Parts: sequence; C-alpha cells; structure tokens
Amino acid sequence: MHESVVCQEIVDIVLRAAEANGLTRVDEIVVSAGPYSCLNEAELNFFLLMARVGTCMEDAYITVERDESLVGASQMFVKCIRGE
Amino acid sequence: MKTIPVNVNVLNRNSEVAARVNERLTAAGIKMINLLGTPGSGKTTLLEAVLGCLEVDRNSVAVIEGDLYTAQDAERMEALGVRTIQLNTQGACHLEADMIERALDELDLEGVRTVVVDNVGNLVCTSEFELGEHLRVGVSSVTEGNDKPFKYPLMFQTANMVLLNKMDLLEFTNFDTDRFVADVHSINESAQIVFCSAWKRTGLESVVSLFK
Ligand SMILES: Nc1nc2c(ncn2[C@@H]2O[C@H](COP(=O)(O)OP(=O)(O)O)[C@@H](O)[C@H]2O)c(=O)[nH]1
Ligand SMILES: [Mg+2]
Repeated sequence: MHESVVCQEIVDIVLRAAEANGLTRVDEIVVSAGPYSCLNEAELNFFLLMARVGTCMEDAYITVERDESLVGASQMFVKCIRGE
Repeated sequence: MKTIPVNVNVLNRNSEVAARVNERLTAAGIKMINLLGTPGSGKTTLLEAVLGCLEVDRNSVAVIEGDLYTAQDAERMEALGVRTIQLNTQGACHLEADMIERALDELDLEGVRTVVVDNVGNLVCTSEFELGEHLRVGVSSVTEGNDKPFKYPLMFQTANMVLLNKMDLLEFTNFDTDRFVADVHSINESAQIVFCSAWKRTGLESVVSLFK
C-alpha cells in the first residue's frame, strides 16, 4: 500500500550507489524483504515506471527476494544492483 | 554486467528521523506510545477511557492524531481537554517519522511526559514505519475474528503490548481468547497481552500505568 514511498526511497538509494560505483546504467535492482513485509513487486515496478524517467535506470526492473531471516519493523533492503 | 552489493535499508531515511525523534523525546524525559490497530478496533475510545480516568494527569499527555482526512478524533481528545494535534495524511495509509517530528515542533510540550500517536487505522503499513516511539501498543478486538494475528503478523510481531478490546461483546462472538493468546505468542513471545473493554472501562489498569 505504500509502494510509492518505498519506490522513491529505492530510487534515491540506487542513484547514490550507482554514482559511487561508477555505473552509468542500472538494469536490475534486487530488494530483499522479510517474510512479513508488505511489499508487492508488481506495484513497485509500476511506480518505478514513473520514478526512473530521466535517470540511469531507465530500463531497470526491481526484483523482490524474500529473506526469512529479516525481522523487526522495517524488513526491506536494497541488496544489490546490476548494470554497466 | 557488474553486480554491486548495496545492503541499505529501504526505510533508512525514515529510521534516521525516527532515531532523532526518539533521542529528542528521551532527552526531554518524554515517553512516546505508538497506538496501532484496525479502523474501529477502539483506539480512540481507549484513549478517551484512559485519559478520562482520575489517576491520569491529562496535562501531562499530548496526543498526535493520524487520520486520512478528518479531525474527528482530535475533536474527541480536545473535548477531554487533552493537548492534541491532527495530522491528515490526505489518503496515505500510514504516518512517517518526519510528520511526527514536525508535529512535535508545533505541540506545546511544556509539562508533557507522554505523547501518544493515535495512528491511522491500518494493520499493514503503519507497522512498517518506526516513528521514534518507545512503546508500541497494538489494539485488536474480539469482533475482528481469530484469524487476524496470522493474517497481519507484522503488527503483532512489533507490538510490546497487544490489547484485545471489546471483551464486553465476547459472548456474542465465536472468538476464542486462548487461541488468540497462543497465536500472538507464537508470533511474538514477549508481547504483553491485555484483555479489556474500552467502552465499559474494564481491564485498563496496565494501560493506565503506562501514563504514570
Ligand atoms: N462494545 C464495545 N464497543 C467499543 C469498545 N471500544 C470501542 N467501541 C466502539 O467501536 C467503535 C469504534 O471505536 P473507535 O475508538 O472510534 O475506533 P478506532 O477507529 O480504533 O479509533 C465505536 O463505535 C466505539 O464506541 C468496547 O470495548 N466495547
Ligand atoms: Mg480513531
């Protein structure tokens, strides 16, 4: 239900990581989420269509992996990014 | 193609603000309680019952009301003479820490020892956003049915205290209180579970003691 907020945070984190690591294009963003986190992959990617316009992740896709070991209130991490 | 490990919490920004809020309140000797639950579970009625009781000094409490559009709950608090501020999320399903930080700037905290956040009625999103609270209280009620802890585990997992409200209606439902206790403890073994009726004002001792 709050994928728009989450998507914007992900985009900011990815842009910083891409710049720090000299990536000029990001193709994939892997997010790991705890078993109880309420994160919908399709909805995240829907918001990404808007959030990524004009950035280095113009063609990127967010993959959500479930990680049973994540507990607590905020169970969502940007795990890694893939690109050139 | 290169893979770059990132490992950054998505809600880092919110958590940083929450930590700042928590530090500020702790330094001022103020405890913040985040009150979560479904719409209609009785969060605002509970506050009315607790703040209306003689043992609680109303002047030492401030309430931050979270609601999508209206100020109805804030009006209920004002009617009791409790300092309150209304946050309208304009449709957003949860409160975030920066909203609390701004609300604290606006509230007169002179003499306040407890701040209560009466969160937006929602079991899903509210649980994911830390607000800087010292204590989470989740409100559930017997009319919601026994399946809720497993359907919405995050609220039950992150709450320090879980209230089972509307106990006055128990006999009209098929709610199984033993099963509720077992289910909640299987998700969060340290949760303190309290049976109460905010309407009849019974079973509220442990909630009242949070305000002392
Ligand atoms: N019978 C009964 N009704 C209650 C109790 N607590 C709240 N209610 C009623 O439930 C409805 C929703 O309560 P409210 O406090 O506004 O819920 P909120 O949305 O969680 O703030 C109101 O009509 C209350 O009078 C209770 O303990 N017993
Ligand atoms: Mg209410």
